[in-house]
Amino acid sequence: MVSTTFQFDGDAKPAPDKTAEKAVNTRWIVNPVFDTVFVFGGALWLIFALQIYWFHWDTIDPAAGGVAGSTAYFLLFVSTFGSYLFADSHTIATYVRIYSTEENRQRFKLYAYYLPWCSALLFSLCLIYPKAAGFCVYLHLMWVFQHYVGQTFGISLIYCYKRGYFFKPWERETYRWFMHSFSAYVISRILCYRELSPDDLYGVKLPFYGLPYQLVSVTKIALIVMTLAFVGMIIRKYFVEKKLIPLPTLCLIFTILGIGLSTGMANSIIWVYGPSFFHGSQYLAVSLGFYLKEKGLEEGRMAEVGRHLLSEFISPAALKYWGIVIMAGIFVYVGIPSILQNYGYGFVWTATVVQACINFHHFVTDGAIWRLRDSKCREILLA
Amino acid sequence: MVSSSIASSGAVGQPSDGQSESAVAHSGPYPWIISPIFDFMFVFGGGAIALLVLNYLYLGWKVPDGVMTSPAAWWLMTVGFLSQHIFADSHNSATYLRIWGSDEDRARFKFHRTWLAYSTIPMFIMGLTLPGLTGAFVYIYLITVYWHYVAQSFGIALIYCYKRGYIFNNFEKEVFRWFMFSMVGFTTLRFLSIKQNNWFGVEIPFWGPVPEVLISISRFVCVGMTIAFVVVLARKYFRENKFMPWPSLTIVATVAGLGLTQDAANSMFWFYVPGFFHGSQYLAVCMAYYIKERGMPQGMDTWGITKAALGSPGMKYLGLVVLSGCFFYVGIPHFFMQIGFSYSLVAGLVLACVNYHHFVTDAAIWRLRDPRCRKILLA
Repeated sequence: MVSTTFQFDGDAKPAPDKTAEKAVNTRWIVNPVFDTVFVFGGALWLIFALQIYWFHWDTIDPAAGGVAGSTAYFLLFVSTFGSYLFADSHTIATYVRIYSTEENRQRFKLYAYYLPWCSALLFSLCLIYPKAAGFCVYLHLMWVFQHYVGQTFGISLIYCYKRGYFFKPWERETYRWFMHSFSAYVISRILCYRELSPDDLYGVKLPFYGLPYQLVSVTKIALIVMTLAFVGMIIRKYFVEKKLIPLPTLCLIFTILGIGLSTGMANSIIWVYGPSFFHGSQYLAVSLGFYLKEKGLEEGRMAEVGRHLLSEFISPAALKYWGIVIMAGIFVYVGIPSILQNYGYGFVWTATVVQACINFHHFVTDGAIWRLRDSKCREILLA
Repeated sequence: MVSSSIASSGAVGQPSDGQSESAVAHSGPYPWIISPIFDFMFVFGGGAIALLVLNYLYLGWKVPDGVMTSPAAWWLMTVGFLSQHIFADSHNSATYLRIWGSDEDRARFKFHRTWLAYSTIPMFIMGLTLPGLTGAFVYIYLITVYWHYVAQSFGIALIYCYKRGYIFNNFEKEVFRWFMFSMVGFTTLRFLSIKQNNWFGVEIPFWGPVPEVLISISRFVCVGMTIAFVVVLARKYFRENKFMPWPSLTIVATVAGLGLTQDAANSMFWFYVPGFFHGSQYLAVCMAYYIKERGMPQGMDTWGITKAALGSPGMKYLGLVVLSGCFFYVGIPHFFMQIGFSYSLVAGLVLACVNYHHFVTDAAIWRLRDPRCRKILLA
C-alpha cells in the first residue's frame, strides 16, 4: 500500500497548504503509543521477545504446566485473536476502500467489478487442479514479501511527509530501489534455495524451479549497493539539510529487514505474529483512519477526526467498519474453507488457497488505491 | 415472532394519510411479504416442500448423508448447506438489526439489546467452564425450538390473513392460537419421552420420560383443537364467504408436518425446514420491515419498497446478516477450537446462547398490537 509518491517540484517542499485543515497534520497516524504498538512493529517485537524469553528457540507448548504453560496459552490466544482481528480482516479493508462510496466504485471500477472475478476463477481452477493450487501458493509465497515491503515503504513515506522530511526525486528513487532490491534478494533466495522453499505449505504441494544460485548473488550485490546508497543518502541529508530520518520510518525499515533476513525459528515466530501485529494492524490503522477521515471530509470535520483518531476508532462508524471487516474476514478465511470441507477439501489447504487467490487481488488493488500522487488520497492520508 | 394480535379488526391495512398517491392507487395492503414467487419459495414453505419431494423422489425416506454418495445427494446437501448459512444461521442476526435498526427501536428495546444481551455472556462463560451445562442449555433449546417455530408460523399466518382482509374475531383467534399451541404441547412432550444422548457432538441430558398419560392427553387436546380450528374455518367460510388465505394454510401445514411427522420423514423436515422455511421466512419479514421502516417516512409506495427488497438494499441487508451468522456459528466455534475447546461444544453453546436471546427478544419485538409495528408489517 501507499506505493507511490508526491508529485511535487523536487525542491523538497510539500504541496502548498491552502486550507486550515492541512495545517493540523499530526505527526502520527493515530498517536505515539498506538503507532508504536500497532503500526511500526512494537507489538511484533514485544511478543517475539516474550516468546524467546520464555521458550528460547523451542516450540511453545500450551499443554505444559506452570507459568510456561500459561504463557504458551497466552501466546496461542494472542496469535489466534490477532489473526481474526487484524490479519484476516485487513484484506477486507481493501474492499471497504473500493466499495465505500459511489465515487470510489467508479474510480476503481476495474478492481471493484472485474478483477474479483479473476480471483474467483483462479480459485475454481485451484479446486479442480491441485497443481494450479501449488503454483498459486508458491507465487503468493514470494509476492507476499514484496507486498509487505511495498506497504512498509508507503507507510514510512507517510511518516516522513507528516514530519516534513521530504525527499528529492533521486532520494526517493534511492529509497524505493533500496526496498525493491531487498524484496528481490529475499524472493531470489526462495527461487534458488531448496531449503528456503517449502515442499509442502499447509498441505499444498509447492513446485520448485531451482533457478541458478547466481541470481541470489546478483540480487545480494544489488541489495548491498542500494543499502550503501540509501545510508549514504540519509547521512548526506542529515549533514546538508540537518534533518534526521523519522524514528518510525527507521523502525519500519528495521522490522521489514528483520522479517526478510531472519532464518530458522526466528523466522517462523515472526511469520506467526507478523501478519497480524505488523502488517495487518498497520494496514487497518491506515485504512480505518482513511475511512473515518474521508467521512469527516464530507462532513467538514476532517481535522477534528484526524486529531482524535483513537477515539474515532471506537465511534459508531468505526465499530461498524470493524464489525464488517472482521466478519467478512471470518467468512472468507474460515467460512469458505468450512463449507468446502464437506466436499472433501482440507480446511487448512482451502484456507491457504483462498488466501493466495484473495491476496492476488489485494496486492494489485493496493497498488492502485493508495497513491500519494492522488491529491485527495494524499490530503486524507497525511491529515 | 409476531406472536400477538391486532386490537382492531376492520381498519387493517387501509392506506394512511401520509402515503403517496401511487400507494392509494393500489387497493388495500400489499398481499405478499416480498412477492408471490419469493413468498411461495421462502415464506410459506414451498421451497422446503419442493426439496422434501425431490429428496423422496431421488433418495427415498432418507436424509442425504454426504455429498459423495450420489449426484442427487450432492445437490441436496449443497442446497442444505447454503440454506443453513444464508437463511438459518443468519436469521438470528436479523433480530439484532431490528433492535438496533433505528433510534426509536434502540430506545424501545433497550432491555433486549443491553441486559438481555449481556446475560448471554455469563451463560457462555458457564458453558465453556462447565461442559455439562452446555448440554443442558442445548437440551433446553431443543425443547423450546418447536414452540418458537410454531409461534413464528402463527404470526406470519396472521399477517397473511390480515393483509388479505381475513380478520378473526377474538374467539376465532384464540381457537387458532390454541390449536397451534396444542401441537407444541404434544410435540414437546413426545420429545421428552425420547432419549438422545448426543446432538451433533454435544452430550445432552435426558429429562424424561414423561408419563405416557400426559402424551395421550396432549395428543387428545391436539386432535380436539384441530377439529375446533377446522370448524372455525368452515363456519367462517359459510357465514362470511371467506376462505383462509392459502399462504396461511400452507404455513400451518408445513409447521404441522415438522412437529407431527416421525422417524425419517421428521428428520427430512428438520433438514430442510430450518433454512427454507423458518429462517427464510423470518428474513423475508425482517428485510421487508427494515426496508419499509426506512422507506415509509418519505411516503414511498409500499409496493415499490417491497420490490426494493429484491434489489440492492435487500442484498446489502442479506449480506450483513449472512456475514454475522457466519461469525456466530462458524467464526466463534473455530476461534475457540484453535485455543483448545471442542468445536461441537462451542457451536452448541453459541446456538443455545444466541437462541435464548433470539426467542425472548422475538416475543417482544413483533407485536401486531403495537400500532407502528402493525402499520409496517401489514403495509
